[in-house]
Order: sequence, then structure tokens, then C-alpha cells
Amino acid sequence: MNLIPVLILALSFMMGFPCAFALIICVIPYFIFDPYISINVVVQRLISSSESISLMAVPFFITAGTIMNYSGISAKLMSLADALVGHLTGGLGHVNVLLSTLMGGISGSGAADAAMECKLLVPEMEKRGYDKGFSAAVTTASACITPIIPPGVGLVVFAFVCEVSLGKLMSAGYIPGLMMMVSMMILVRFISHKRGYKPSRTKRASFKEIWKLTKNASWALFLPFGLIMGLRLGMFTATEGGAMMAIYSLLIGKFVYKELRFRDLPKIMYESVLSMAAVMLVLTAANVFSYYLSWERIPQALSASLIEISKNKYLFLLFVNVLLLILGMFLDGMATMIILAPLLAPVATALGIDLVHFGLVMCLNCAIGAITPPFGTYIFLVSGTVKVKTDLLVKELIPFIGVCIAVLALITYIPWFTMVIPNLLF
Amino acid sequence: MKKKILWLISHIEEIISVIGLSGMLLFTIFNVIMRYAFDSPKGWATELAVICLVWATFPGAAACHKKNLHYGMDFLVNRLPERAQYRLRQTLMGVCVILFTVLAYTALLFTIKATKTTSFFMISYRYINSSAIVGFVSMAFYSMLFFIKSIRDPVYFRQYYANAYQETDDMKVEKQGDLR
Repeated sequence: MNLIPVLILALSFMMGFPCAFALIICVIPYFIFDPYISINVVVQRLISSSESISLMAVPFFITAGTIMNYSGISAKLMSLADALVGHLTGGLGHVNVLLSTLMGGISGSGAADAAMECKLLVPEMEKRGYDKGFSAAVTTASACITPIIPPGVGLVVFAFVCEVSLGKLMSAGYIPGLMMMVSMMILVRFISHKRGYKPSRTKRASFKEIWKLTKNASWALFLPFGLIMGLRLGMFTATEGGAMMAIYSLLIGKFVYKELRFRDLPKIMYESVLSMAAVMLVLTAANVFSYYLSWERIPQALSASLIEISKNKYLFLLFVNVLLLILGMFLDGMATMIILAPLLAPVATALGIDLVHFGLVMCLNCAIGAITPPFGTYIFLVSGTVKVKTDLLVKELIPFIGVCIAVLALITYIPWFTMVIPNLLF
Repeated sequence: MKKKILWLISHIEEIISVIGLSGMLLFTIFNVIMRYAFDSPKGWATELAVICLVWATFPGAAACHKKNLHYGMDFLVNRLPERAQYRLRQTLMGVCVILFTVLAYTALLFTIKATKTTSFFMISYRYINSSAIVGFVSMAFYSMLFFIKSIRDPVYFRQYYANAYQETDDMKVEKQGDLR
């Protein structure tokens, strides 16, 4: 078994070479020196893997999320979140967590959610006496709820690379997302009580006020449910669902919320292109790398060794948890998923783990990796935006990471949490 | 006028990619409408959507390379002394020049040899594969440009890596929050 490309890949990653480039460059010497494979295979695999109809879902969901960010929904969702939980001790901390959960159903991107909340909520929290470190920590931690609430882009990518039903995977995200939300809110309440953080509103919002605010946000809140039901009823495929979601976001942004302007469209498409092309190149480059892996029969060997070592699915899941948490500290979650999901999914299947459950575990793992020190990507995003010292942010973040890992353990070892809704719906 | 032409040339990858993404979206929606309203899905729309996807991907990847937006892990590099960091990035940019030149050349040969046609319009795959040539030629060109800049204009080269954090879509969400 020739493992030189794997070594080159690891070295390139460590040197900071972009993942997509590293995935291509590591196999080129292998293809040049192997007399049975032509170098043309690299380009052929790159192009042919980008000609997939199901792959179109990825750019569509990214575009829909970008359009939503321009449609003025975040301010409406924030008012709704404040009305629902603002009266609790540490009100704005709860609003922060709930807003991330609601945004999960809209933008599907944890990084976008963290960036938005850094601007919308953290200054307000500081003004009302919350520690800067705590405000930044709640924002960072709650951003890892967003990717597992449908329609998270990570879920779409996993569904594509492992050929899993997107509808099932999306519906599986609700309970884990809610568990994350509730556990973080309990922690926020505990810390706020200890530090004396006040509620953001003096009394509970009336039912009439909540109803009015829910009605305002309902067009956007309906989106993930509509998508899952559309997929369930066979009204559209995952790809068409992504396109419908993009158009729906555009229409409600323009005609219902009236904040999206047609002159913003080129800018929206430009942002979408930059986001989607980076993901697409990793996806196509991973296809080139997987050709080498298959040629060397590495997935089969890896599966056999993992099954041999882990003996049962619980040990294997523990191994996956630890591996992904460590990788997540260093590598972007999307890249980790694209590279590792096709390697680990066959082992999971062989050990009798449902791929819907496994996909959710992977997505949550990658999200938690992004908030784990020392190099989690959300930590740098938030500390840079809020201008808070990384040390302080990390110190405040530790209890939240503990909570996230506890929820991850529950979701990993009790599949019921993830499978109950897909089993009911599909 | 000259300024406009120069702008168009310097943003050609983005323009192609945006057209590709928009086309893909429109053709897919058109097909959904045709299927539901007229019970007559159009094969040609799917074919065009796939062609648009390929044309959005490779020039789009080149646009990301221009702005250093491809995912990578730079935590180790960032911890190196300033000088070593600079040299390593310069070397990697040199590797990029070779990588994309090889890929552009291979894509060219692959495209010239293409004989397959699409099933509906019978369009030669040369027109689809050309997207990879455009993407890789652009990436080779910009890698060369950044490599030369790394020798002649270190401030510009350093800015290229610093810009990545300001150019992400996440930051644009922030800017949008400001506007609101």
C-alpha cells in the first residue's frame, strides 16, 4: 500500500496549503509515477465530479442562506427571541442562544450566525453590564447549534457525499438542536444568576405580542418545515428544494420583509459564488483523492482495521468523536466532513450504525470542534470581531464546551434522539 | 470606458461564475414549474443547469484563489517567526504556480481530446471542459502574479493573506448588520 500521498497531504495541511489544493497536489506524483494511471485522471475526475445534478443542492442552499442574510429577518427573529425568553435571568444570553437556533433554520451557517450576533447582540449585552468575555462566549458557543438545525449546509454536504436521504438527515437535526439550545440556556441561567445579570425586559411578553412577532417572522420560520415536507411528500428533489428555497427567500425578502433590494442581487450572487466555489473545489478535489484511495484499496483496509480495533459500534463512535473533535480544532468543519465522511461511513454501516444518525454526529462534532481551543475557527472569528482577548474568551467558553460535549455524548450513544423524527416522518 | 473594460477583465472569473450560478438557479426553477404546471419537465433545462454548475465551479474557484478564500489551516504557519512565515507562503505560492500550470495544460489536452457530446443539445464536452482551462489558467496567472509580488512588493503579498479574514462572507454579514 503506497501511503506517500497521505503523507504529502498531511504535510501540505500543516504548512497551511489550502485543503482543495493539497488534495490535488498530493496525488499528482503518484499518478505520474504509476504506469497504469494517466495524469489526465486528475482533470477528468475534477470535471466529472462537478457535473452532478445532486451536487447542485450545495450551491443552492448556500445561495438561499446568503439571500436570507440580506432579507432583514435577523432583526425580526431577535425581537421574537426577546419576547420569548428576554424576561428570564440573563435575558440577553438566552436571546443569543435562541436566536442562533432560529437562525439555524434560516441561514444554516454557524460562522454567519456568529458574525451577525457579534454585531447585533454583543454590544447590547455589554451595555447592559454583561462581561465582554461571557457575551462573546455565548455567541461563539451558540453558533454551533446553527449547523445542525435544518437546512444546515453541512447536512447537505454529508447527504451528498454519503448518499443519504437529505429529508431524513434534516429532520434528524431538530431534537439535537433543541437539546443544545436547552442545555446552553440552563448554563446561561446558572452563570447569570451567579453574576447577577438582569433580564432584558421587565415582564414576560403578552401572548398577543408573541403572536404578532411570530406572525412577522413566520414566512422565514416556515421555510425549513416546508422544505422537509416537500422532500417527504416527493414534491421536489433535494436539488430542486435548494433552488426553491433560494427563490422563496428572494421573494419574501423582497415582497414580505421589503428589505431586500434587486440592486443587491449581484452582490448576493457574488458572495454566494465565493462561498460555494470554495466548497465545490474541495468536493471535486476530494473526488480525485478518493480515486487514489480506491486504487490502493485504502478504504477497505481502513474499514477492516477500524472494525478490528473498535470491535463494537460504541467504541467506534467514541473514536470518531475524539478524532473529529481534535481535527475540528485545526481544520474547517466542511473540509473535515468532505474528506472523512466517505471513509468513515462504510465502517459505520458495517457496524450497524444508521447513516442519518452518524451524519448528525459528524455534523455536531465538526461544529463543536470549531469552538474548541486552541484553534477553533469560531473562536478567532468572534474574538477578532468583538475585539476580546482569546484567552478570556476561551476561559468563558470552557463550561459551554463541557455542555456541548455532554449533549454530543447523549446524541452519539442514544440514537433515539436523532432518529425519532425521521422514523416518524419517513 | 477603458476603466470599465479593465474592471471587466480583472473580474472575469467572478462574472462567469455569477452567470453560471444564476443560470443554474433559473433552469432548475423553470424545470420545477414545467413539471408542476404543465406536467412536462424539460431535459434540456437540466442539461443546461449542469453545464452552468461546471462553469460556476472552476472560474469561481479561481475567484476564491484571487482573494485567498480557500479553506486551509494556517495555525502552525501563523505561529512561525514573521520571516519564516513569509518564506513558507512564498514557497507555497511557487508550488501553486507549478500545480495550476500543470493542471491547465492537462485540462487543455483533455479538452482537445474530448469526443463525447451532451445527450440533448449534442454540445461537445469541449465547451464544458473548457471551464477547467479557464479556472486553472486564471489560478496559474494569479499565482504567478502573487509570486512575483512576493519578490517585488512584500507589503502587497502580506496584505493578500491579511485580506482573507476581511473578505469572507461572514464579515459581509457584519457589514450588513451595520447598515441595518
